[in-house]
Amino acid sequence: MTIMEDSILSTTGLCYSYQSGPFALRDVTLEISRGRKIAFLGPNGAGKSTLFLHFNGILRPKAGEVRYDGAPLKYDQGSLAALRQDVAIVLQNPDDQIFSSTVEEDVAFGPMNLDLPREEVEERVAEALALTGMSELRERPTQQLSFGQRKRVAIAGALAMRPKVLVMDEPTAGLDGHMVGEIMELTDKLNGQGMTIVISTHDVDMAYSWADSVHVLNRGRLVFSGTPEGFFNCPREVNAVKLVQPTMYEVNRLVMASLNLPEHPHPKTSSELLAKMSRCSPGRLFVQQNGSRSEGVPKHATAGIYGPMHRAAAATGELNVEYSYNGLEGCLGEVMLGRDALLVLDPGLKGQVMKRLDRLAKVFGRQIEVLWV
Amino acid sequence: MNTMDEIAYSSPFRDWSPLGKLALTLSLLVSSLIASSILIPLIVFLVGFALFFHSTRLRLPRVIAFALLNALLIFIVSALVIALVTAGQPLWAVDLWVVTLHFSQEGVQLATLVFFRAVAGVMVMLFFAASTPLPQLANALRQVKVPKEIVELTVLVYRYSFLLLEQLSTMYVAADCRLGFRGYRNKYRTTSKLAVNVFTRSMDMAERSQVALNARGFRGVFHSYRSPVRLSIKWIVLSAAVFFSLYAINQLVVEPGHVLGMFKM
Repeated sequence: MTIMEDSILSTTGLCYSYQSGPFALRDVTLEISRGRKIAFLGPNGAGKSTLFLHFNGILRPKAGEVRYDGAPLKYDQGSLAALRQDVAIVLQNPDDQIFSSTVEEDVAFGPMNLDLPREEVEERVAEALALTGMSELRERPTQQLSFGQRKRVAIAGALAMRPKVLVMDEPTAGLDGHMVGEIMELTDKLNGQGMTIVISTHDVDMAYSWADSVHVLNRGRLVFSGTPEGFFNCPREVNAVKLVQPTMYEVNRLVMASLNLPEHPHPKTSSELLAKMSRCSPGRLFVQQNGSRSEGVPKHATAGIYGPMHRAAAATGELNVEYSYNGLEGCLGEVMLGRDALLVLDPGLKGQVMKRLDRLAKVFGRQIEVLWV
Repeated sequence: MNTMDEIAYSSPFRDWSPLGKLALTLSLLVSSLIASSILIPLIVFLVGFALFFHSTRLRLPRVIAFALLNALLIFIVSALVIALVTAGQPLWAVDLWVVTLHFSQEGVQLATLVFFRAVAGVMVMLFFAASTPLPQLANALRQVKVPKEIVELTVLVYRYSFLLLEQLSTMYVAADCRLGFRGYRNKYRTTSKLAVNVFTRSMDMAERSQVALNARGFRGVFHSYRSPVRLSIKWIVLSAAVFFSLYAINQLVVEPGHVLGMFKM
C-alpha cells in the first residue's frame, strides 16, 4: 500500500499474539492522518487496546510494522523514549497509570522522566492542569479523587508530555454526561491546536458526531476504514461487529423515509438535522471570547459555553448561560430555529466553530451570519 | 468517615518539615521514656494532645478511635499488673476473700509512671501520624540518604494499598450481596476467596502499571516533583532544646539538691 503524505501513524500487515494464544491482531493495515480526530470502534476483545499499545512501542508486532512520521519504529530505549514523548497514551482505567500520591506529582511524572529543566516541568504541569480543569485540585491526594477526576489527571499526565498524537482508550467509559462533554470539548481544543486525537469507544453516537474518520476492528482484523457515514451506511457490517446505528443516523433515516425525502446528506447532530429540515431562515450567531456578556449582543440571545475556561466562570455565576455544556451544539440549534444565540468561546476553539459552520454551509446549504463581538 | 490519610493531608502542620516533626516527636518520646518523674510524661502528653487537637480537631477515624480505646485498656491492665507485682512499702490491700491483693507504694508509683509514659508516647506519635502524609515522610527520607529503592517502594505500596482496599471493598459488597457471609463456614470460605482474588488482582494491576510506566517514559527512577521542606537547623535546635529542658525539669523534680549543687559550683 502507499503511505499517504499526511499520515502520522500507520501499520502494515500488523500481527500480534499474546504468548502462545491466538492472534489478537491479524494483518492490520491502516493509516492515521495528521491533525485528525479518529475513532476506533469494535466489540470487546476486538483488539483495539492491543493495537493502541503498538502505537507507542509498548508492544512489538510479531509480524508487519508500525510507522511513525513515515519511519518504521525502532525499539531501542532512546528511540522509544522519543516516540513516547510524541505519542501519549491514556489507558482505560486511570488507576492503572496514576502512580504518585498527589495530582501535580503525577502530572509531573512524564516531564520529570524526560529530565526537563524545573521551570519547564512547572510550566507543563500548570498548562496540563489548566487544560483539564484540575488546577484547583493540584495538591489533592490522588486516592481522594472521584473516578472522573482521576480520569482527568490521567489525561493531564499525558498532555504534560506535549504529544503530537494523543491516544485514549475508551476515554468516556464510566463518566457522566457532563464529564463526557468536557472531555470531548478538550479533544476539540487539542485538535484545534494541531494534535492528532485517536480514541477507542463503544459509544457510536459520540463516534458518529465527533470523528473525522473511523476504523473498525473485529476479532483482531480491520474491517472498515473511512468516514463515519460510510461505515454506518452499511447496516450489515454494523451488525456483524455487534454495534448499533447512531441515534441521529436512525432518526434521519426514519424521518426522511416517512417524509419521502432523501437520506443524504446525513446529519451528525441535532443542529444539522434542524439545518436539513427547518424552513425558517437562521438566526444570528454572536461569538465572543471574553467572559462578560458584550454590548451589542441582544438580551434575548440564548447563551452557550464552548470550552472549560468560561465554564468555570459560569459555575460561579459570573456568566449567565443556558447551555453550560455542549454550548456550540446548543447555540447552533437555536440559530437553526431562527433565534439569535451567543457563543462564549475559549481561545483555541475558533477553528472547530469554523469547521462546523463550514459544514452547515457546504453540506446543508445553510449560511449563518456570524458576528464576532 | 475521615481516614488517617485525609486527616494528615488536611492538617495545618502538613507543610512543616516531616523530618523536623519526626525529630521533635522523638525528642518528646525519649524525654518521656527516660524520665523518672511523672511530671515529664504529663507535660509530653499535654504538648502531644495540644498539637494533635490542633492538627485534627479530634476528627478521628472510627477504627483509630477504637484502637486507641483498646490501647488504653491494655495500658490500664498492664499498670495494674505492675502495681501488683512490684514489691515495696505496702500502701493498701484489697481483700477478695480467696486472695488478698497488696499494692505497694513503689508499685503504684511505677505503674502510674509507665501508664503516663505509654499514653504520652501514643499521643505524640498520633500527632506525627495525623500531620504527616506518608509519601511526604518517605520523600523526606531521601534527604537523609535512605536508599531510593526503599523510598520508592514505600510510596508505591502506599499508593497501591488504597487501590487494593477499594477493590477489596467492592468484592466484599459483591460477596455480601450474594450471602457470602452467611454463617461461619461461608464466612471463612468467602474471606479466603477474597484474599486469593485480591492477590491475583494485585498481580494484574502490577502488569498494567508496568505498561503505563513504560508509556509514560519511566527510566528506572521515580523523581520527586515537590520535595518536602528540608530539615533545618531550627528544628534540630528546637528538638534539642525540648529534650534538654524536659531532662532538666526531670532532674530538678527528682534530685533538686543535685541540680542546685551544680549551679552552686
